[in-house]
Amino acid sequence: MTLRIDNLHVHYGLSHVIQGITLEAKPGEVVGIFGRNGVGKTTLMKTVAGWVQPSDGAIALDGQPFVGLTPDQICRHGVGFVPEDRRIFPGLTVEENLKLGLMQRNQRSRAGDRDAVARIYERFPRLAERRLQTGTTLSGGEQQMLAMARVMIGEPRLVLIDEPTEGLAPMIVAEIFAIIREMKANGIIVVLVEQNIAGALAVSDRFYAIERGHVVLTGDAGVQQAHDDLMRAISV
Amino acid sequence: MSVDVVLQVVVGGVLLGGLYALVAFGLSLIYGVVRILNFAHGTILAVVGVMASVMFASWQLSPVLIALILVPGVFVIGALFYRGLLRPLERRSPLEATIGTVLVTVGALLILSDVTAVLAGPMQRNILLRAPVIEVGDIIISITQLAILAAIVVLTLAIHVILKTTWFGLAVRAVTQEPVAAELCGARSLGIKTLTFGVGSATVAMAAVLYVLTFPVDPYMGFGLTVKAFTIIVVGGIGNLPGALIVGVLLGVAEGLVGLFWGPEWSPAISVVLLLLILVAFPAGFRWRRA
Amino acid sequence: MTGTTTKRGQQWRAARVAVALAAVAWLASTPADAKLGSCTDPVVFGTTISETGLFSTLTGNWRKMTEIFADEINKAGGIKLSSCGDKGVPVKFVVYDDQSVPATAVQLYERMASVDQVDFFVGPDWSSIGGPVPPVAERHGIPIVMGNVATPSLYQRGYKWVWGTPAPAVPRWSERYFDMLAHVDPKPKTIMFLTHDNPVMKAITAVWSKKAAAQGIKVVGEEMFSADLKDFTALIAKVRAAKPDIVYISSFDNPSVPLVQQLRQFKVRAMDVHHAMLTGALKKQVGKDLEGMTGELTWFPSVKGPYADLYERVMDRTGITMFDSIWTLARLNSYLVMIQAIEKAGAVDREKVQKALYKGTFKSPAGDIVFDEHGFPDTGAFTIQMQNDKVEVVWPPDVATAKPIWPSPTWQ
Repeated sequence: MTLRIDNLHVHYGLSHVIQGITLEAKPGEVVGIFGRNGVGKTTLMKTVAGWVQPSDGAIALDGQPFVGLTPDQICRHGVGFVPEDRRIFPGLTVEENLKLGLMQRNQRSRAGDRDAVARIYERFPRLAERRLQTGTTLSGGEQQMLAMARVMIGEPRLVLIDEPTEGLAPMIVAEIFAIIREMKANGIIVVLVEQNIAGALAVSDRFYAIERGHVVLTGDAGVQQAHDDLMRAISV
Repeated sequence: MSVDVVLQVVVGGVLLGGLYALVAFGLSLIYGVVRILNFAHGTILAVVGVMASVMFASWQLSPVLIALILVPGVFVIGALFYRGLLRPLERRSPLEATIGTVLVTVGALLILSDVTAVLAGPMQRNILLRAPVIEVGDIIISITQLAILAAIVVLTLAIHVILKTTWFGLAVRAVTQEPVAAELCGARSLGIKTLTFGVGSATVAMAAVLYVLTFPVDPYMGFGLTVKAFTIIVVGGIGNLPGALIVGVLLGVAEGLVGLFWGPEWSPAISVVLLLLILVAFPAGFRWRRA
Repeated sequence: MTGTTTKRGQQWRAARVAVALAAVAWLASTPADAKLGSCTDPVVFGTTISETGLFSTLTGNWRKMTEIFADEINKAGGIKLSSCGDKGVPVKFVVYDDQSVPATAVQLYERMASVDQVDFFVGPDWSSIGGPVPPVAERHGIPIVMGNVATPSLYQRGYKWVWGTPAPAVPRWSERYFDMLAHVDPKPKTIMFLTHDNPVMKAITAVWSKKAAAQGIKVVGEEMFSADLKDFTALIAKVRAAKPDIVYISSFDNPSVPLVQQLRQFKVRAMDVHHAMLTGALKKQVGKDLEGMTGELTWFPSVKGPYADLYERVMDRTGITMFDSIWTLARLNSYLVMIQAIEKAGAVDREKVQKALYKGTFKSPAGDIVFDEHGFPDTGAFTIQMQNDKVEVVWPPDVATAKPIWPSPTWQ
């Protein structure tokens, strides 16, 4: 069960945003994607999630090709996406937001749904406290928690997380990285785009540095030399 | 002008406004989920109303039975209309898709009206049940009116409950608020859109059967209703059921009072005037519910 | 080599032009079988009927009726012309569908004048079409007798060739009804007018509210409503507050359907509710609610009168009745007046026919049609009442089929 992205190309009109990216990730692996603003990191995530159609190349999870599927179909194949702007449903309650996450599951039962919600509340007591509040009344940190919880409740095999800690307090940032570690421990593939490079490298197994739509460097997150190379590669 | 007269007009306005609100619910549901302005929406009321009155006149079926036949039928036709004619347009560029949906829905409006006029005649029809009336002082309320009022209340509550408690309702609200995120969460967009088109059309069909019980319909009256429904949605808010109900009733009462104090020939114009005034006075729209 | 090709090309082109010219000439010449002044060729009437579009519901099978009318006239010997030794000349119609569209009608009358070369124009209906068509007749110098064009001002534009036979004419619309009101017991003291927002209907209210006041019936209210009003609660609340003895509805039949129904639903009480256009179409839509109401009918077979047999036969063979298709009388009258005018002129001569029509008096089943100097008629109407689900003529007494039931029991 692996994620395989092969020679992916994406165009926005005339601009060639992703120019042949190849990437691989195994279950229980956290892959960090780094690069300056506008190099195509978010586009890469959106393409995997099905929001953007690639002009060439292949994406497959566990040998199952994704290209051409709609976002909701890809979602049902076990891909969870936490976008940068979180996309919480503003007028729905916390609980309703979570229930929508359940729609990602292929097999459902009343009891199973109830258990899943209960488990999420156990893990996120803050959300349990606010279960009947609407999305707009949550703080930024709470919204991020909700966005991640909404993905987790769907029992995904692959989670794409785009800039989860941006603008959040250090305590909440630590909490978010802790959640990512839990995902990893559960055998989920995590692809993480993050500006907080130090924090992200600490939870990542491997990283990819992207520059103008190309992968310019890959490396092992545990090796100090690779860190230095990464900093050099993306600060040019 | 006596108080009785004003009250009588208000009662009539509430009834008519409740029916407007039912029409607006369907339009609001469809726009919220599918993001298509269905210009043929009011025409569904006109056509179903004509069909209902023809069924009543030809076979003396009870209005309840007529509703049981027509409402599911319109549900299926609404769903097929979306799948067959509107869905294919979504593959086009946004501009082409928008223009395409306007052309398809306006075309459907014209075709529906003309075909109905050719088959059933262009005259006004309704289902006239001479129910007993209740006289309170100088105010007259018929049992039919009360039944329609009750049906409007029950239907509004039913739609509210469906939206609040079912998975379909949850998905509808989610797609209305955040179409992209709803797809992220695996809400089956094609299925929900199709279902919504069916439900939205069925709501109007229901309103149509209630409408012909007191007011006549003709094949060409639909567009005026669509405009009223647009007004209600713009003022009440997309996907806001209580808002639509309040605005619908206000519109109905306003039409009645304009007729009373100014002249009935001005009543049909009031919705457009109201819409323009509100657009000018509150260009940013209303905030109905804020925590 | 090139020379021959060019030459052959030129020949071809010339041949094609010739064929095209021949085709145009043939097209232009075909239907022109009418010759003014002839005693053998048929007299050709050109007309348009709103067979499709907005007004199509008002024209009940009139194409067939027009053919049958011509057939009946011709069977009886045709149009008698003194210039042909009182020999009868057959009449023939050229009929087009104007689609209820004024511009289409104008084009068709142009076409009939220049391509079909008809002798006379008859019949177009409705003020919207009857407005723009007369200038075509004026330009070509062709006499036209229009049908249901009831707005008097359309005739007052200095035309020389234009007449019309709308029935009834606005100034005589409710003459007999108000005569009846002067004779009934108990006498009505108050009247309220409910008017459909339309030029003809507003004109009727203007004329007859003045007449009511002059006759000593107080006008206690005048309300207007638009054709698409469905909820008449406000208007009816005013009627109930004003408590008039007579409610006079001045409206086309279709827009007043909800009004009549809601008057019943809200139990409005009055001596009589009068409808200026009490028609079979209205009856079909409101049914029993019409019981006891009064209205006008321009003509009714039992009234008899000149040419009544002809009209009855034509309508029987076409399968229409006066009550269901009230516009039929004016349509047939336009044909009949033109035929009488030609017979008076004694020749198929437009100038002479024009002179015969000017301020002329013509026979019709509903009485004499007398044109004023503008070409507008003075046709009146009979007062009817729905009694036991049937139409009865109740005034004037000499032609009445039943006595008026007064006050109308259904509004008590």
